[in-house]
Amino acid sequence: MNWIRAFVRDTRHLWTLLFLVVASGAGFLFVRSKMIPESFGQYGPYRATAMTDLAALPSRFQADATCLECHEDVGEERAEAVHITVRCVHCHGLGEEHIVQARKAAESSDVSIDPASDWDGDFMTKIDLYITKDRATCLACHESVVGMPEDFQKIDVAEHLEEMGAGEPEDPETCFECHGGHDTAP
Amino acid sequence: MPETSFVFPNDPHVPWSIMIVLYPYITGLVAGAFVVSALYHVFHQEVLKPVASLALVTALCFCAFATLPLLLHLHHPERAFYIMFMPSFTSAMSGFGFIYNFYILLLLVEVWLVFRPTIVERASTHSGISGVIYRVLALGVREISDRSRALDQWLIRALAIIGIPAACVLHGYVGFLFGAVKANPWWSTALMPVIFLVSAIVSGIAALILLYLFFSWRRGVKPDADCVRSLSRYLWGSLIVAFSLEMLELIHMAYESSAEWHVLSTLLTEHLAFSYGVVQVLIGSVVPFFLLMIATRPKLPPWMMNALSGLAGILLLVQVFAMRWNVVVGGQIFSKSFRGFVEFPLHWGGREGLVAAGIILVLPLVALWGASKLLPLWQTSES
Repeated sequence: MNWIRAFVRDTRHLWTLLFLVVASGAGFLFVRSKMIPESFGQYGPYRATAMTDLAALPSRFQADATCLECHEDVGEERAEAVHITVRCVHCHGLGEEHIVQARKAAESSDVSIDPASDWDGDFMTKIDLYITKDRATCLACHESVVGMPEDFQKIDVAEHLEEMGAGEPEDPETCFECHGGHDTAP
Repeated sequence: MPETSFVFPNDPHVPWSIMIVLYPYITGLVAGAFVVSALYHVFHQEVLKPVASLALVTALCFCAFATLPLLLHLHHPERAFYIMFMPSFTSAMSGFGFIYNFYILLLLVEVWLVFRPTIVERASTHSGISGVIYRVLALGVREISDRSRALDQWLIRALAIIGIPAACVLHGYVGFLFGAVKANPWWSTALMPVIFLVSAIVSGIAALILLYLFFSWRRGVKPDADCVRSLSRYLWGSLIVAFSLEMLELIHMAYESSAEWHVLSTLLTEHLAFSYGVVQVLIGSVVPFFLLMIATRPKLPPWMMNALSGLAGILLLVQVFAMRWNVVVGGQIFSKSFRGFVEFPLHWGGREGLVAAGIILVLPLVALWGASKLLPLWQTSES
């Protein structure tokens, strides 16, 4: 039995090391079992119930058709314009509350519709509905940046305003001296 | 349909910062340093004995900080472990957690086995904080027999053998991450993992030459001339392979002249003209090639060999950094429309700034300095 004792003595450091490695692995598996959501992996490497959670969120995006139910004039104005491809929400915000009010107002004359707000200059704030003629709205798409197709209507603001002889080049609403918002033809 | 707004609005934002340049750079140093240690432990290159322990500990120190750039780059670093807890096996990135952990475990065990005699001895002879550290590192086993030492030597060799493909996979995979981005013609090439791996070996050997020369100077001893010459030869050979592959890839792209060559040629001749043409190719590859050609001549005086090898080492560390920079930044500054270029924002401050990058590069060296105080990195060369 001496050889067993010698073997244990000579390999004790390796058994200790192996124990540490296995214990770390077991610790990892234990923490992992506590951290993984129940439905993880059902459809792929994500939590399956995230799909139903997301689907249950109210839809905030309004299709143009919803807006044009009431704003028929805008639909006609845009019909032949290049901005037919731009969605209402791009320049006016989501309009979620606005549409709820409008639907109620259609059913009852007691309900009034709040007027649209002024844009605060920040696309990230969640103003429900705004109307703006601020050039920043136009330049969100039309300011010249790299990667845009050559034939896209992109402008260098200062150059364009000088070329066109803008009356008030510093005025934020100067784009509207020549262009409309829905039908942009000068 | 040009009216449908501009096509690639996500291009102006360059998402991968200098931290993503550092990440392959540091893992490359790990792989390169480990290869040197394996040349001694596996291929019995006795001439490299003076740097064998240093190479192993250097690999461990850099490996310990390899993920730091990624953590700084992530906006939710606390989610880092998700890649291990809930891996998506079809994602190349998910492999990283497993490869990295396997590799650092292997390094830890190998370093521990290599230095166990010293650790055990000092656990008994040292007191105070250092004594506590040694006793913890000894894992409660305070005796070493000849048979246990022989077993350790066998294990060290086995781990070094396993470590070679592990090091290659670790760094080859980093290149694979870029090579697998098929939408980016500057990255999407099957040669990318190989180029990353060979240039990693270049950077690892270059770093070891510099560290060896520096530590020898600090200790007031002369560097082993045969060891430096041998390292320089390996460095020279690795440089030739790395540079040949880089140029082959470029020539291949130019000769094919596919649709993307239009933007890539502009990228190289205008936007990366300095960092690629001047730094990576001229100063970083051509000059060190001639320096090392002279340095490896057998009859050269040792002081001149050390000077030339050291200078080549510095230039090659810059070259490999420039290579990582040109790949990571170069692949992001041209629009995927192939019609324009964007600027790469580089700041001094902030979580992903130059100062943070400098600190990350210094931290492994601080760890190495700490390790040199705890472990006899030179024991094998003098014993």
